[in-house]
Amino acid sequence: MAKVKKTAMATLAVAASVAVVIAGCSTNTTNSAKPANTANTNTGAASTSTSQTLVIAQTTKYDDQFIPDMDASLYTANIVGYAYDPLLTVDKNLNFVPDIIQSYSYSKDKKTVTMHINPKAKWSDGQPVTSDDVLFTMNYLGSKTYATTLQGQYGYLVSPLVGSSELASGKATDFSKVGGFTKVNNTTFELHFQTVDAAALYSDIASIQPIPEHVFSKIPMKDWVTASEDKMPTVTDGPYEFVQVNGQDSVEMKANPNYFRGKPKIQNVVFKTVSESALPGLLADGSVNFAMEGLQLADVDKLKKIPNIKVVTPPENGFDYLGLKLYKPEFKNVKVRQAFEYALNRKEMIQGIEKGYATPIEGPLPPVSWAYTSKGMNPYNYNVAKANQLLDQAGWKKGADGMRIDPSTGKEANLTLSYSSGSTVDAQIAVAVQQAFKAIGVKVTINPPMDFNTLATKVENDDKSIEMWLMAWSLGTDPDPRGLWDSTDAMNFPRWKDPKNDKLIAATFDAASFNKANRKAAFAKWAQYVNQQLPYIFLWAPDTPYAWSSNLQIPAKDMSTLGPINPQDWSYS
Amino acid sequence: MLTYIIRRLLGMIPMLIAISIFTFLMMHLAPGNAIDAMINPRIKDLAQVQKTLEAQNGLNLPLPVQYLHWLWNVLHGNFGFSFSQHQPVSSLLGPAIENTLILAILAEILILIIGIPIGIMQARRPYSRLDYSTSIVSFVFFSVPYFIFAIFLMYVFAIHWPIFPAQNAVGTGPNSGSLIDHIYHALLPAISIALTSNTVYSRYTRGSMLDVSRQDYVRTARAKGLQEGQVFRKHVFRNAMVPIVTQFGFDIGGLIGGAVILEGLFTYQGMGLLTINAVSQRDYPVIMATTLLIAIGVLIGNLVADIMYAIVDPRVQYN
Repeated sequence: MAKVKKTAMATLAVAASVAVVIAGCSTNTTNSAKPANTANTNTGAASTSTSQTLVIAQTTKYDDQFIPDMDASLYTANIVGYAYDPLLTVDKNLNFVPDIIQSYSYSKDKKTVTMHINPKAKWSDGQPVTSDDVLFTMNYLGSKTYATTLQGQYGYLVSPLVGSSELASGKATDFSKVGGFTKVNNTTFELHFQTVDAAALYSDIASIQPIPEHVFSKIPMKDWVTASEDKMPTVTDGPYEFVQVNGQDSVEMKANPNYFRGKPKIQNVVFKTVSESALPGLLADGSVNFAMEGLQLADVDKLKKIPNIKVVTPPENGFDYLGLKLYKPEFKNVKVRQAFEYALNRKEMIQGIEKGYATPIEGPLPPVSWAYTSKGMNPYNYNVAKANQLLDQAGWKKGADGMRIDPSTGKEANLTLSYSSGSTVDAQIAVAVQQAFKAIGVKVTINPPMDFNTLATKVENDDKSIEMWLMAWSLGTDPDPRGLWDSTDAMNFPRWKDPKNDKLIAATFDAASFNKANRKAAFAKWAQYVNQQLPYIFLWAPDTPYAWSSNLQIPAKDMSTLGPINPQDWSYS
Repeated sequence: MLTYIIRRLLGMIPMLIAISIFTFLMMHLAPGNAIDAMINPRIKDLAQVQKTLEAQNGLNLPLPVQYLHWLWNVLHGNFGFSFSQHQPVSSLLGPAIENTLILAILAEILILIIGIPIGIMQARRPYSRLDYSTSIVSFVFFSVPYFIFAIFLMYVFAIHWPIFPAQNAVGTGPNSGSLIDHIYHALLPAISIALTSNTVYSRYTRGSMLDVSRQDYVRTARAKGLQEGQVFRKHVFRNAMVPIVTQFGFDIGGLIGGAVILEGLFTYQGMGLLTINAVSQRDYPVIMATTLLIAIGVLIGNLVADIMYAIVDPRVQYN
């Protein structure tokens, strides 16, 4: 992954697979796996592969707008990530490492960071990447025009800076005039933050992809959406530059000879949109060299039997969960939630539903995160006796027929469970939950599936019909809990309001947490509290399948926990 | 005739308005909108951002006002801005219509050149072995959903023997987007449609020709001593074309709607995919635009059918 996940924190996905593109959900620019592939013929028919072309497949179409952050789709961002580098990127263990910015340091009061641009960073037309380009990009992202006329969704990337609200409201247009940005020289600048925040640099600023001021300052910003530079940018600073965009079918790119981290070894890259049902066949016949997304866990075993392709299934930085609306009286007692977690035989569910390609989780941080620790965490191993005991303690007495009475209503409990039709596995998970709960005497009624947008809207707006639901979070590179977990967060879907939790979250980005070891310790404390309180019934972190032609060589250092990164290092054998 | 056409065209206007109102209401009855569906936890003040965007798009206005805004803009050639794709709807419609028309026209041509000759052949020798065998094959093909053929054809002719492209409406390289490139990419999906749908024409042709061949004037033609071939060409076939021409008019109406499942399988970016994606994302401006275009297509197709009916059958008078 050459780049940083843009959504710093979490992207909502349909449990188990992002079959549905959601505006905004898809923000997760993982520049992750940039894949590569094969060859193309003029017509795109079954290609004869030439070793110099990498054909990368995505199964959801991109939108043909390639100025970074103009579009909110993950699939567009995947392509943009090959053309534009972010300020900081991530290594295989998801640590932030230099990219355009080669070094940075904080002031004593932690409210200013001084950043040094790599002097070798150049645009593909030979001009250097400068502080002015970074300022220009921040002014673009922070502007009122971006948020309204262009309907941009990444204004938050610059929101920690001083003066961001003046820009957003249109009262100012330049961070350097409102105290957010100071240019020191062409390759050095300072950013001034509104608050002391150990996460802001990583979860927001790091993933900004500068755009060339000398190109875009000539076009009024309100016209960018229809500009030819948006349909196909001519000047980029990433490993590849655009050659041709064929509608929403394919994008052809070639190696950027000026790329400052080394000219890519593979000369040509083609991004293609293909259907999920054709993808395995296209991989098998070599007309696709890298499947960047769209493979199903259920197909992994079959894919592994295809000669000439390599399949890997790294764990996802995210998790599937069973949500509970905590303001409903039946879920208020923590013992009830713990009983539910104990009642699920998640190992067996993973075998049956995810074909073994998932890892049970017990807290808010998936095992791939650097902030994860299993120390002090209750794994909630499957234990029906314990579940029954907890429910007894919580006053959920069994009735004559063995089903339990909900003490908040005095009637037999009947919990409803909602899920989305966009997922291939949610229906199975729903039935498994229903059976597991029945075994502890709790009746579950499964609602008919809804399309993903409907379910998401109802969950977000606390629709009365939503009691329990199945969904998934796909998280950003930085583990910052804000956005999902604070009492006031719109995406705190369970509506878990707990001052102690908020305090523990605040400790993960306070002044002490500028030291990574301190920050990790703060995360551990928070995760342990969540693990004990169980605002969600955690299920598992699914794996994500990637596949590529076996003659494509991806160095071990580029095999990140989220898939292959740094496409400029890849080569054909 | 001209008066009739003008009258029909004018009659379409209230119909289109009714269709657009209906679509508009249906869409807004569905829970959620594209902006509600923004679920990005990093956005610090999501409610505020959503409010701004809703105001920007006029979604906070009363429904009738929103509708009138939309109508006013459409009358000025402005279909609005796609919520999910962040670009003007018109720039999305252009390529989608082009792709869909190429596929539909190609499929229609294949349907006619397969279906009509089969029907003629069957009508020339009804109840013969040839008639029964081709009919059985036609019915089998007609009963199989076309996407089954699509998968089969894709596997055999694009993956096993890479003769045709397996995916997309255009290829890569310098010829991308040329007419030949378009046709090359549309051929496999067009064949999948034609294999199924030609049956409609072969059955219409056969039935209609058999009906006509029992008419008195055909008997008269034979009695005059005309050769059988001439009887069929001049007297039977021409008269039998009346219902086929009508069917053709209806087909034209359906052309612009695209073929959702097929387009999905071939990732062929046409009207079908554009519409279905827009529906799942509640992308109102796109849904309104595609619905309106599809409705116009169907209404015009019906009009064409009626006009062609009058042309091929002089007995039909519209005045």
